Amino acid sequence: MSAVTCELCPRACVIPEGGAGDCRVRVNLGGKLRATTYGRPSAIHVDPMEKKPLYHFRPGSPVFSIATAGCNLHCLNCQNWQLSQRGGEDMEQIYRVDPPELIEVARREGCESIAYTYSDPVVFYEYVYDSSELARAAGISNVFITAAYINRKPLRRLCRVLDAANVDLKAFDDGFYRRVNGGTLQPVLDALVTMREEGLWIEITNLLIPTFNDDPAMIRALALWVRDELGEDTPLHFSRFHPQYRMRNLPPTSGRILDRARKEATDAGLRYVYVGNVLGHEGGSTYCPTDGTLLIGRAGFWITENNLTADGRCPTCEEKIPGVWQ
Amino acid sequence: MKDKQRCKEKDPGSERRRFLGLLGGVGAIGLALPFLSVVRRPKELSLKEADFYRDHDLAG
Repeated sequence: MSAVTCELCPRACVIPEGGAGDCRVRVNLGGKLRATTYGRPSAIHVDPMEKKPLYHFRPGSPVFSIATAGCNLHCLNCQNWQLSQRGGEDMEQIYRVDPPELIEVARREGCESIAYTYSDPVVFYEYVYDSSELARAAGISNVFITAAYINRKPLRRLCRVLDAANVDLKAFDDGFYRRVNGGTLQPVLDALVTMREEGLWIEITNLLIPTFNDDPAMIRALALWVRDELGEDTPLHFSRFHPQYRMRNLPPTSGRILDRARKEATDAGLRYVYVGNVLGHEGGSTYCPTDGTLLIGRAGFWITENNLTADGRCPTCEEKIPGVWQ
Repeated sequence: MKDKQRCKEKDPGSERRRFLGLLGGVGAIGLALPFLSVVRRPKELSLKEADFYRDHDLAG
């Protein structure tokens, strides 16, 4: 009977034979580490790219989105807990989709990108890697929607086949990560820096939970870190919390808190700060940071107007707007 | 007084009813066990059965 250590994420689970890691889906079978959900997604949808949210990456394009069961964090406010806080065998349904079929179907559905999303794709790493390699060869982009609780070495390898990521930076406070997410902050910051070093297009989401992580000083510290370590052009999305899972006792985030956060981050020097999960909020659109021209208007996940030039510039002042626009 | 004494007298059929009740209980458990011990597995679907465009409330 030999135990194996999973080196994928900072938890470093030591898994006895026949057992599973903290994520429920990475198991020790005969002394070898296996992901039980390889080729077995439980959720498959075609979404708009804006839903991920990625606002500076192929705007308005449909993205073939998949997820398996399992997660290596255990957020009290998880929005997808039916998927993330279960093992594959606990799901109502699973699909059998090996990487070649995934690429074929994504292409057939007219999707230019595949998103590994909904739960945390870190725990179906091998499936993401193999699918991304094939997708890239077929001219399809790969986007990774994640909390980035992953070790640097496997992440660096994965980045070679990814094109963009939205990282859920849950708070700029290690205590919050331990209390609410069952993780720690530093590995997430390290992962963000690694993604930047590897040249991925990165956007960050910070879900604001009333009284937990909406302190202006914390938001300012987060924004300053993003500016200094990732660059002032990194889009930051402040997302509205809805009572979910084990945090049903709190109210949804107020518009005042979201507006205040947006101002803090803008004042800290970030040039593209968004407000999400609020239909019709002006913070859901992209503006030129130099002259304020409306570049991309959005209503929810839908684009109402796109005024960027073909080469991704402001039509008024011709400033180059960072992102992947084609 | 006489009526009270009569109530305390043992009903000759009570032992038999108790035995039959026990027997019925054991039988019911025996019948239910095969159903209760079935391991529930997820339904395996092919992509042909998927509706990629139906509304959903998953975040991300």
